[in-house]
Amino acid sequence: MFKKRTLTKLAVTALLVTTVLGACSSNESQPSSSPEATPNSVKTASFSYFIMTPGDNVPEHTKLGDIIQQKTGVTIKYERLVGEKDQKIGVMVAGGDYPDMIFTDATTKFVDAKALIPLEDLIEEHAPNIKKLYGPYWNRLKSSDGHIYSLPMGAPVTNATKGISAAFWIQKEVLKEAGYPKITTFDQYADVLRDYWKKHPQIDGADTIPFEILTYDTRNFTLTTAMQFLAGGPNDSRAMVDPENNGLTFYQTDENITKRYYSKLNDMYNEGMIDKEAFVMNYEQYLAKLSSGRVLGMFDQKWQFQTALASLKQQGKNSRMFVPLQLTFDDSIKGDYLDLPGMNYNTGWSISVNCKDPVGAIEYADYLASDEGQILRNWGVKGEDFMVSDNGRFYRTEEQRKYLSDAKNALNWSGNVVWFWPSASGTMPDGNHYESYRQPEIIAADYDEVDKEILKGYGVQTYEDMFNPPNTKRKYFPLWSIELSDKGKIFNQKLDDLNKKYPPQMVLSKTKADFEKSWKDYVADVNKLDVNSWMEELTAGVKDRQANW
Amino acid sequence: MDAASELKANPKARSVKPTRSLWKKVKQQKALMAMSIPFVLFVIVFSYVPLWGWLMAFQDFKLGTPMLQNHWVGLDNFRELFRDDSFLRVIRNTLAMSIINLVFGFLSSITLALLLNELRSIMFKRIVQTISYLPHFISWVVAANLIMNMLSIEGIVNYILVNLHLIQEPILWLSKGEYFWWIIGASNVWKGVGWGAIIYLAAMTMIDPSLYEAASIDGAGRFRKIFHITLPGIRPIIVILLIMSIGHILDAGFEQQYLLQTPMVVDQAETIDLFVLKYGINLSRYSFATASGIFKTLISVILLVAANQFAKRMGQERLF
Repeated sequence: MFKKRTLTKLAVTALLVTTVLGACSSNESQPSSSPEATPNSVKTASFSYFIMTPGDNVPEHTKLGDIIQQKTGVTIKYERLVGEKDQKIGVMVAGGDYPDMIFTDATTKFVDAKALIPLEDLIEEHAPNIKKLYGPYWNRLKSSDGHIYSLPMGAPVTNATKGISAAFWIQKEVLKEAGYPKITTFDQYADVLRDYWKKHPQIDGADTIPFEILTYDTRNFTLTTAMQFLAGGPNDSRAMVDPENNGLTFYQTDENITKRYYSKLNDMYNEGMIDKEAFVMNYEQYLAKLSSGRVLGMFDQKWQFQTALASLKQQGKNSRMFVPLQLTFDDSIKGDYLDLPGMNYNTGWSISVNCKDPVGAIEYADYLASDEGQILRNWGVKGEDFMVSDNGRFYRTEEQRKYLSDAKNALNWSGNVVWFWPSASGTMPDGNHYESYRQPEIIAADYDEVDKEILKGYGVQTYEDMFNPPNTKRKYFPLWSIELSDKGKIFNQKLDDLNKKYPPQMVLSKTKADFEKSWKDYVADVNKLDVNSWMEELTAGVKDRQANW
Repeated sequence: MDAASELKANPKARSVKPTRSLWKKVKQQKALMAMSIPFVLFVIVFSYVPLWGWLMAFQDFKLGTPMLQNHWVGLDNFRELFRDDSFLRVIRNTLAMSIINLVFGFLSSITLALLLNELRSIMFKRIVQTISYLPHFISWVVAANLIMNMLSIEGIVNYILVNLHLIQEPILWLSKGEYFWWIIGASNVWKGVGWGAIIYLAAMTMIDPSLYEAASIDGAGRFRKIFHITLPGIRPIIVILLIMSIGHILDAGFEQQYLLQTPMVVDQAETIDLFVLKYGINLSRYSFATASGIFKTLISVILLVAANQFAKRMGQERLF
């Protein structure tokens, strides 16, 4: 009796297990088996694709994803990073458990682990569109062993531009009240902020903060990179490069650059212009302050405070939003804020050794890199997601823009992942931009009344017009993307630590004597590090790029 | 160790050969031993087998290369660890915060448990207990944001102190290196006091009530009973927990310092774990990270054994 009952139990459990497992496996094979989904494609296939940046879970069906799937017959199973990136890479590499394709900014690590397959032969044979886009950058794409392992997004084509990212930002209201003055130096900037602050010590019942500084964790740009822009350098960080003779100068201990900047900040702090909490708040507190509308200005990269801008807009505080300014120490220095169009090499889309059908994968990527694929990925379906004017210009109606500006709609539209593939940046032969957010029509449609007033006040069409164009002699750009040896990386980390510790002390110094002491300590500590071999490493990298790129 | 006491109790055992008695014992307890096999296996598989990864510490390990094919560098990684400028500072911070956590953690939990134990109203006791152990379930990410807001210029701490006229101007608590260790200690107490008290409360329920009755008859008051019955009653638990925490003294924490540190207090905030994250794992220097892991383990084992021996010599309860 007892044994029989156990047997029945066992049988039932086994049955259950098989049904569950069976259900799982049939689920997996389902998407690729729909018959009419493959009218003009080579074959039905399914690939896994891991994207090494965090983001919303990708819905199984998105509008664009489904259209692409119908056109190619290929299903992509996207997975996005959850948690710590380096840890995930470590686990992946240690286990050898790679997805078919990986998007990562740490391609070198995967190459070292022999996790990726070389792409150059595949591209030559199977991917004419990719070859067309990336051909001009062929040598730059090559890893140190001469193979191409990854394709970054946005290969620059005609009219490629990069938007404004790093800049000194100022509240629109401040500009308006000052009557749209021409602000080109850091001193003028401080004066304008001071005037407004004296007149309006409080905004919406809270104390006005004339200048804000964020130093939390690695988000430390205000104190470490702002001065290179003031001194006329691009976003290189730590050293200035002279593109004429490829020489590097280390600016972190330069009295005319770094000390000058910290000293000015110190004056501003003692005047009460800098937030008292600047060095003790975290990123969330920083965003909360910007969103409250009481911060008049700061130095930052745009992507870092995008949420605050969105929040201000949502509260209807449009005039408390920020516009970028191109500042230098004095008018004899020419600002160089805009990034040279280019790609970050050793990042991007790659195929892993575990991919069973690399040809299918590259053919799929090639379709996405075609003009048809790119319009679909960036703009969507004509007539539904974007319109074409009589003279052939792409634009979006108010309704379309409103729909896509909603985060949830955007997620269901593209999954926020369809652009993690080889692509172009710039204009198509017909003059429209590949990337919709670079299309002047789209940018202009985003300007509100205050923006229009400001742009009229300065007599320009877009904010980009207020900036100098990027210096095309800087072929090496950016300096920070040159891969360093372990020793160089440790130097970087040590310098980061010093840059974290001393600059706040200098800014907060009560007297000039204190300031001088902190500065001396800082310089002494920096000089204890091996600055020279770091400089030599980078100089070699710059020379190599200037000669071969 | 136990053989000696056994001999005293049973003089005949001397004549039996030790091997035979051992096998006899095994035979007697074969059911028990069989039951413990899965757990022993578990420990071997998950705690001992991974130890072979320690080899990394003596190599220049590169991800993706099979373990034994890496370049061997001897003790270079350890040398680099001990020679690093920040190493001593990091150890100092770790020990300081650990000791603060240890002392205040124990004192606060035991005090809370004693107070709760004296309460007559079961309802009130339960409410206090629940409220006091709830913070244990808040993740440090959330807790750190709460603490940062509490300690900001407009935060509640400054608000109360200024309104009580204890300070004139609001203080930026997180900008002062000298406060950081204490902030960590206090936040640990806030987060752990209720949770820590549970185990002592459990130990207190094991104390024979007749002891309290006898003491009452002898005229002992509340405090006498606490000092002469309750505390000695839970002493074994306290000693065991203390020995175990001493073994963890180099684990001063990771998230709290990572989340609460500001550029103004980095010199006080960096613990050995943060240092390893920054200079080891983040730079893909797995060998260096392993070397510091080994260093930590060795110190822990030494401290654990020392504390245990000390407890033994003092005639106290001990771990092994």
